[in-house]
Amino acid sequence: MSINSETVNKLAKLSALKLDEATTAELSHDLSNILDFISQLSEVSTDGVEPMASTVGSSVTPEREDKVTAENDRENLLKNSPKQEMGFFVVPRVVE
Amino acid sequence: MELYELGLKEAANKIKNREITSVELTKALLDRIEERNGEINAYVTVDRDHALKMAEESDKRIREGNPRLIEGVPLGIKDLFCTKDVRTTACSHILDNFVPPYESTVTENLWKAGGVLLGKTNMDEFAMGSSNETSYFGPVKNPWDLTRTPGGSSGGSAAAVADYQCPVATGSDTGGSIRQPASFSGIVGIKPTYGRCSRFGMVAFASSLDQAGVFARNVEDAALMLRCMSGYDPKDSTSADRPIENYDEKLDQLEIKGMKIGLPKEYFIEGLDPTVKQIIDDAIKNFTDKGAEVVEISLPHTKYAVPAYYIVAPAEAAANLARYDGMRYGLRVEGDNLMDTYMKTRTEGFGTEVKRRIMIGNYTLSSGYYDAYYTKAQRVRALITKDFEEAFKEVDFIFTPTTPTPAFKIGGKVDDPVQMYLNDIFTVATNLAGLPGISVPAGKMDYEGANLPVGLQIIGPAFSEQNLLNAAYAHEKMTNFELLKA
Repeated sequence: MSINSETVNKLAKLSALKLDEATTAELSHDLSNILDFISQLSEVSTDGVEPMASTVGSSVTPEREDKVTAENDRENLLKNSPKQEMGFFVVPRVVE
Repeated sequence: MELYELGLKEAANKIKNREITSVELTKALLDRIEERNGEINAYVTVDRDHALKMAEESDKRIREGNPRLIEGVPLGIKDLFCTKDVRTTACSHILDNFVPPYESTVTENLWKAGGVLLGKTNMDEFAMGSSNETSYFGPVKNPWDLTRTPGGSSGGSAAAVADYQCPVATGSDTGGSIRQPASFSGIVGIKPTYGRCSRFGMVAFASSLDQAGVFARNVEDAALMLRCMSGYDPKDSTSADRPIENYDEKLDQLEIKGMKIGLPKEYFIEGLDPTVKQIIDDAIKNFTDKGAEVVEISLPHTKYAVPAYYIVAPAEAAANLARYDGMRYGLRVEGDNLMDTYMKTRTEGFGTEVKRRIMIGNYTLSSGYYDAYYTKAQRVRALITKDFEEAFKEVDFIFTPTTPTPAFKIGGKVDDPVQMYLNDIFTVATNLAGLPGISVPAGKMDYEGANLPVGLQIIGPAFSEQNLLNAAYAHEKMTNFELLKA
């Protein structure tokens, strides 16, 4: 199966990535090969087999108690932010 | 013998007995890194002051007569375990200025056992790779032959341990990222059962497959290190609520006579180097000479493990990596508007392999393809898991080569993602099934003009780490494998 540049561009948009023409061509080639490779799975009969999302059953994944802890304080978390003012994250304008 | 050549247990004992101090050992290792890192590139961040401060605290505890299990021993930490106040990048440009405000549970456990943070080790970007060539900080060199890869994604940890730049190191293994580099670097690497170690604070790649583990130069050190880092964690609901075993204290409790070794016929295939096969056969013979029994088994869906993995892992990665948007931490590249900023940030921040996997993931998750790819892969995953369950009704362990060949050249497979993916052929199935696996040095061979190590992989049922380590320990005692000289 081949993935054309139109599909690559659509996937790039879904992935919030911007690709130049050379990269689009390269990825179109790579993704087609990868897709051919993973498409082998269609040979396997999986009738009646339940999909397995995790090796841990949901019955053994307990939720922890919903308790307030003080491990992450505002000042520490903000230290990593690319832009900050008055104790807030500064982000691009989202409402016109 | 130089101080930096000490193993984990040896070093812990010498510090406890006050033959050496933690500061002396830490300084010796920091100097070793300074001398060797330009060539090997195993470390991406070394914070000398931070390391020495931790070492001083350990020495104080020793003076007070209050040592813990690995008091004062410096450790290499793969750069995807968040370390509070010490930069953690997952070797991606998008995180290259990230200083975590919190500690991962695995590293927290190690510091509580007395470990000292020596430095953060190089890796493939977000652990996506089998050769350490996708790291934003450049490839790691294999200390056995500098033109070759030490494997990936935990290439820095493997090379650091093999090259005596730390006694032991942490790694993470999503499809073979501990076992393959351990094999390529001539050391021990264990990936425990999914859930044995907490994933809290470990930069996520594929959450249902990621598991932390250990690199060491001998099985006993691997066992001790695993004991220190594993355990239940309320912060990771998939971590297993089981007691931690004192793995390193029971290593000689294996009964070889009557033990059943399974050899999956699908693993001894074309593409497997004949000399690698011979080395594995020799290792098995050591066991059969002492009364172990070999059983040919079948894992019929083996062929589909790599394609299933390369659907499941990228799908989970695409979801996990959606969080990198340049808003609250990490790189931000300002654009004309919000969407443009997202796109510019991610385009500049992620490397090519990461982009490939995000896009494949979004393809297999997109409507119209979801059932044909993602759900199909999950069904195949169930079949692969069942193959192992059937096999372990008949045998105690499964023995395989860790990789089809020894370490390949840097640049050797980088242009062909599918060839690179096939390198994981003997390791990915255990991740899909959540099982523990260990790679332990089995021999050396001449390969493309170099003399390189070959690893034996031993796989066991879920939570059989103790047995697995015991089998690896027995193998180690019966094999004359010489580590790389310092």
